[in-house]
Amino acid sequence: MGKPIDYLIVGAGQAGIHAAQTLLKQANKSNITIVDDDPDSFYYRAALKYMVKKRVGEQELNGATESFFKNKRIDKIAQKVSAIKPSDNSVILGDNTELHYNKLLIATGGHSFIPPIPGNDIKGVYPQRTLEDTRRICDLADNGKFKKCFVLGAGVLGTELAESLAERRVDVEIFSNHKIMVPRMLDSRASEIIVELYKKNGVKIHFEESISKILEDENNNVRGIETTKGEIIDCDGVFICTGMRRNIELAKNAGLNVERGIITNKYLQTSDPNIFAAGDVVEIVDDNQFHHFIDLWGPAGDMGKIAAKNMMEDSKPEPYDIGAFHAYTIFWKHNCHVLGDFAPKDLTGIETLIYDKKSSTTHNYYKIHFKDNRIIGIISLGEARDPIILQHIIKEKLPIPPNISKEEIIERGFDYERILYSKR
Amino acid sequence: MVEEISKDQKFTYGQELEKLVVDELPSCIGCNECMRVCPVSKSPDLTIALLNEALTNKNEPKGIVKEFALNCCQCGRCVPVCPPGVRRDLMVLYTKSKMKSYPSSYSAYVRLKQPDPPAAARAIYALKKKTMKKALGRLNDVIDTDELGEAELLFYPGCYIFNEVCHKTVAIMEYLGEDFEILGGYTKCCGWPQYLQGRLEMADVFLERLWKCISKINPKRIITTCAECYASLRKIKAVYNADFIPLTTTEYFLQNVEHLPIVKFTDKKMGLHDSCHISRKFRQDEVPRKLLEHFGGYQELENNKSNTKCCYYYNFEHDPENHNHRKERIQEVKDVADVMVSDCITCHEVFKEKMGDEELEIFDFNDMVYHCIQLEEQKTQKNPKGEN
Repeated sequence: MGKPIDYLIVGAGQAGIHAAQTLLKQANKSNITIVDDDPDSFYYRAALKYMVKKRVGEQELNGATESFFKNKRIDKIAQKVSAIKPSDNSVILGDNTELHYNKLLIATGGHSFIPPIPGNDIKGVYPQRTLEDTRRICDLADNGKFKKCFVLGAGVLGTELAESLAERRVDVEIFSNHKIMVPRMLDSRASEIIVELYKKNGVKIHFEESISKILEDENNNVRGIETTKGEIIDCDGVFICTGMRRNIELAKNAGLNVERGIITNKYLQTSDPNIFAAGDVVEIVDDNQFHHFIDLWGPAGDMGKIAAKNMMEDSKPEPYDIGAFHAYTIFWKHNCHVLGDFAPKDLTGIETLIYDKKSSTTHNYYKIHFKDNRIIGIISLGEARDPIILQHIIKEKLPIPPNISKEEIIERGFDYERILYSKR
Repeated sequence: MVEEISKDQKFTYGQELEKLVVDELPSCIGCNECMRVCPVSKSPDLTIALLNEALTNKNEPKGIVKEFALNCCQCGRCVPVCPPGVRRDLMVLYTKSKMKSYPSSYSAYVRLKQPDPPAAARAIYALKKKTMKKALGRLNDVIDTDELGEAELLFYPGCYIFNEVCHKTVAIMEYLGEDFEILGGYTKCCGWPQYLQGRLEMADVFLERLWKCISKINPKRIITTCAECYASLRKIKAVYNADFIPLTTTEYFLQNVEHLPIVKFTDKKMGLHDSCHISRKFRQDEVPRKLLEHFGGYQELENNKSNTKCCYYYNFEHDPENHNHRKERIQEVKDVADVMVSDCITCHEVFKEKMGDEELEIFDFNDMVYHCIQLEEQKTQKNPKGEN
């Protein structure tokens, strides 16, 4: 057995790459190995929508520079990991090579969840999560294969895909079991505004209605769907955007503690002290035994950075801050940012202010929840107002100074830096 | 009074950028929308991955990244189009701040402007003071002075103290019967130009120095004609939790509109050029529009409000395309109007002095209000008893 690898990272996605970058910068002289069998890694997965919109090509989506992978301290192995052996501090690769590590990071992400609808395996039913999925959709759209399509799921991925296809002049409709758009991010008013935008752009949304069956033609291609209301509609494509499942098999087979994700503490450490996890695959259990899933792009990178720091010998353990929720997307040029506790369940002591104004080009909807003289959550739609500063204000629980009124805060030109620095 | 601030609490632009830029890097989704709207020259090989790498890299930027950073004019067009709202403008600024040297082409201004003026800068200032003595009027006495008394209202022309526009602001304030102090001159620079060059420590010195001057004067309102000075005043208000209200001259005129003799003095169509700072970054595009209504209305340009186009001043003429971009902007105004109206003195100066288009007049709001006051005075002189 040779010298073990200082840091072994499984998965070259957002979390894995940020971990590697952090280690390169902070863990001097250490060697780092990344194992990933996806030939496309690393790419900007959260921007795939823009590829469907034809606004970026694959080259622009390539997130790792040549100098990063050429760095002598980084070794990239394009193989599948078939097993982890925590007792030996080693992993077994697809070709049976055994790699020993001092510290291991599992950043294996997730995969599309395909609901058990009859016909979900026929040609013309597509998940949309990876670059490969997107390539296929773009190829088919380029070749005029989609005249009429359905998107199942009105989450971020589903709504983004529907918008991108509509921009390509594909006739597209969305089905959702929920009552509103992107329930994870929006309230009913914001949903209403967005539904209007989709309608204006020719996209129909079926709420509280789903696809019960996907119908095939004699060549095993999609020919239509049957809805839960019993309607049969012809189509040439069905896109499945119903969320994801975490890639936990490796960890599970290795005997690590897993539930829906890989269980970690707030330091992103798994049940094995030498193994950490980061990104979509993680299920964090906080000090109060609450379980958290944070399958978002930015936080995946943050988790990679934090896990890397905590993997380093002699480093002071740094907890991953779960409180700073920030989800975002753009619906038809309307920036949408959702920050902190945007839909508080307990309304005791909560004051909510709303700004809701429509101009000729943009509908600005802004909802801020205040509690104990602090901003605790925001839904922002239309023109974005310093979301990064607002995120810091919420994360650091900064108080609103006495010379600032809540009414001032909701107004358009308000300077959020005045709260950012209020604690100084 | 200036509070003593302990070292770890002291505001620095460098720390701010670490927090708002470096910590936020994972939020970048790599969609390239920022680069699609970015107007300055750049290599076709420049990618988001390279730009992001330059942020975490300890070394000085080089090659196409450095070239792009030098061309960046900090217009901020990249910000509203970013889905996560990351500040690509500040990211590039942070990259710039790692540069150890600037190319010789990069404007003499950059080399001269330092907290303690070098001999060459002092000579230029002395010459300006001498040759402009008459035009400066009462401004002459306040240039770079540290003898500052308390005042409720402060006019802060900063480095633009020699500019004719600022002399008009003074005349307008006098017309309104205001009692005010003036703060301006080389040593009273707000530091924003240095900040936009990436010379962060130098900008820190200017900002703190300005705050010390302001706290001596202890004003309730501060008026400025320059969008960058306005940005610095907002920064001071935020980081020092100051009580004063920063106002652009446009805002100040709008607040006093009932006391100003504003009339529709021309039939020429006025096209409003939004300032990157005021309209895009601070979302105050309604102010110039409301004021223009009092002058008889205005024309909207194709690229307006948060989608406005820059005057390209703050790449210090590094980008050879600056001139063409400005020409395009002027054409955009000419397509719909006869006059370009701007509420930022930097934009005004760039378009007026650098472009000098004979077919297009370029007004600042100070010009316009001042002109109305003169018209009224002429009328009074002709008709001293106010007879009809």
